[in-house]
Amino acid sequence: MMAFESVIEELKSHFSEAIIDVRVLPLQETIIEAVSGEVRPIIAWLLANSDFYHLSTLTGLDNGSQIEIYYHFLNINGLSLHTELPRNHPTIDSIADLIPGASFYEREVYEMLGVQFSGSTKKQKLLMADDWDGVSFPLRKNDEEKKIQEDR
Amino acid sequence: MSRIRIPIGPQHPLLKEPLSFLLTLEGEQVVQSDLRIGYVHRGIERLSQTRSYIQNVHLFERVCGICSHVHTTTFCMGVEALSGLSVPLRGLYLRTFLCELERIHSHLLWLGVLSKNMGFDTIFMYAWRDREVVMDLMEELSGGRVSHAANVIGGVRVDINDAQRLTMTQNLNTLSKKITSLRNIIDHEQSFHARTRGVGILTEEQIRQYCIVGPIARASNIDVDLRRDVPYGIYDKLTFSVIARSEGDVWSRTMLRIQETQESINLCLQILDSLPPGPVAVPAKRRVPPGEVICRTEAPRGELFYYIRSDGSDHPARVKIRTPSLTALAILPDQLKSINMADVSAIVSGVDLCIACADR
Repeated sequence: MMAFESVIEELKSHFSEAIIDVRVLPLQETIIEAVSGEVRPIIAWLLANSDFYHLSTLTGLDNGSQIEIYYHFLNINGLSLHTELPRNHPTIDSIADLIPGASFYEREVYEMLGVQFSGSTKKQKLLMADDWDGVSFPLRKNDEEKKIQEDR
Repeated sequence: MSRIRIPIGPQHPLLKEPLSFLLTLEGEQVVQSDLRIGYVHRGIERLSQTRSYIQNVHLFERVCGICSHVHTTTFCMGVEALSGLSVPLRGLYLRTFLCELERIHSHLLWLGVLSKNMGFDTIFMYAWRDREVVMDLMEELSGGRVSHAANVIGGVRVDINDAQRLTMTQNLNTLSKKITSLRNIIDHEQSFHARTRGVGILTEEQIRQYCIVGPIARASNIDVDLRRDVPYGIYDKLTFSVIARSEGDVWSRTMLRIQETQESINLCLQILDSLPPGPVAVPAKRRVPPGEVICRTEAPRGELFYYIRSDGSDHPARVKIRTPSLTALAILPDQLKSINMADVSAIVSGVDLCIACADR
C-alpha cells in the first residue's frame, strides 16, 4: 500500500499531539514514542491505512519508576510503538478486539507486570501457576532489586 | 444432545510436552475447547536479568530443546549489534549452517510426531531414522546433538576441516535422496491423504488476525519468510526459494515442511561449497553499551523475536522472547471447534507446537 517512510510521515501528521518522538534502533527497527491514551487509535489507523497488520508481540518492562510497553509490528520493516504507564495502577486500552492475536500477549503482560488492559474479555490464567496469588508480578522490580541495579 | 467434557493433558500420550485442553463434545463433534499453558514456565526472562550476557547465551539455549541454536543466534545477533561487533564471514557461514541443520532436524522430528499421533508408525520410523543423519552432523560440528553451545557473542566456537566438509556433503546428499523417497511414500499413501486433506483449515484472514508465522502461515498462502524478507546472517548470499501453498490444511503443512527440508539441504550444501577461510569469531567485551535492540530470525517454526535492553552493565536489563509456537497456540482453541473428535490429534500435531518455547 504505502511506502514505509510515508507511513511514518502520515502517522506524524495525523497524530501530531500524540507522537512524542521517532527513533531508529540498530538493525533498522523504528520506534515511535506515543502517549498511552492514543496507542489504540494509532493502531486502529495503522490497520486501516497501512500493511502493518502483523503484531509480533508486546514487550512490557519495569524500569523502576515507570512501566513501559512496546507494541512490535512487522511488515518487512519493523515498527514499534512505545508508551509509558505509571507504576501504581498501570492501565491501557486493550487492542484484542482489533487484533485477536494480541489477547495472548496482553494476558502475559498482565501476569508478568500487572498492567490492566481495559476492555479485554479473557481473564483466565495463561502462564502463572494455579495457586498464584494474583498480586505478586514476577517482572516488577522490588526495592532490593532496584538497589542492586543502581550499584552495578 | 447431552454434552461430554474431555480433558486432554497436562499429561497425555498425544502431547509430547505438558499442555492442557478441555474439549466439550456433542456426540463426536467438538463444540468448544479451552486451552491452558504455563506448565513448563521456567521464568527464563526474569532469570536472564540476573545473569551476565555470557551466561545468558547458555540460558537461552535452554528455552527450546529442538531449535536451541536459533535462540542463541538471535540473542547473539542482538548483543553484537548493540556492541558494534561484526562477526567474521566464516563464523556467520557456520552459524547459518547449524541453523539450517536444525530446521531439517525440527521438520523431520515433527513429521515423525505427526505420523505417530495419526497411527502411521512406518513414517514415524523412517522420519526419525533419517533424522539421525542430521543429528550426527550436528554432533560432528558442535559435539552436542541437542544443545550445541556453538554460538558465542562475536561468532561461533566451532570449526570444520576439509575432510569433515567432504563427508558432510556426502551425508547431506544421501539425506536428500531419503527425503525424496519419504515424500513419495506419503504422496502415495491414501490413508495419509484421508486423515489430513481438508483437516484443520486456516484461512488467510485468520492467519492475519492472529498474527501467525512460519510454515503454518506459508501453508495458508501468506508468503513470509524473514530469511528472504529481512535477510540476516548470510542469507542474502545464498539462493533459495520460499515455498508457499494455498490449501491451508494439515496436508499442505506436511508437504510444505518436506519441501522446506529439501530447500534447507540445498542451503547447507551451498554453505559447505562456498565456506570462506578465516577466523570464526572476534573477541567481545563483557559489558554492553547502553541501548536497546529488536532482533528477528526465521526459526524452524517461524519468526522468532528478541527484544534486548542494556543498561551498560554486564547483565541485560530486560530480554523479551516471543517464540513462534505462541502464535500458533493462540488460534488452536478456534481450530478445535466444529470438528470431529478423531481429527483432534492431526490438528494438534499439525501445527508443530513447542510448549517449552511458548512457556519459556
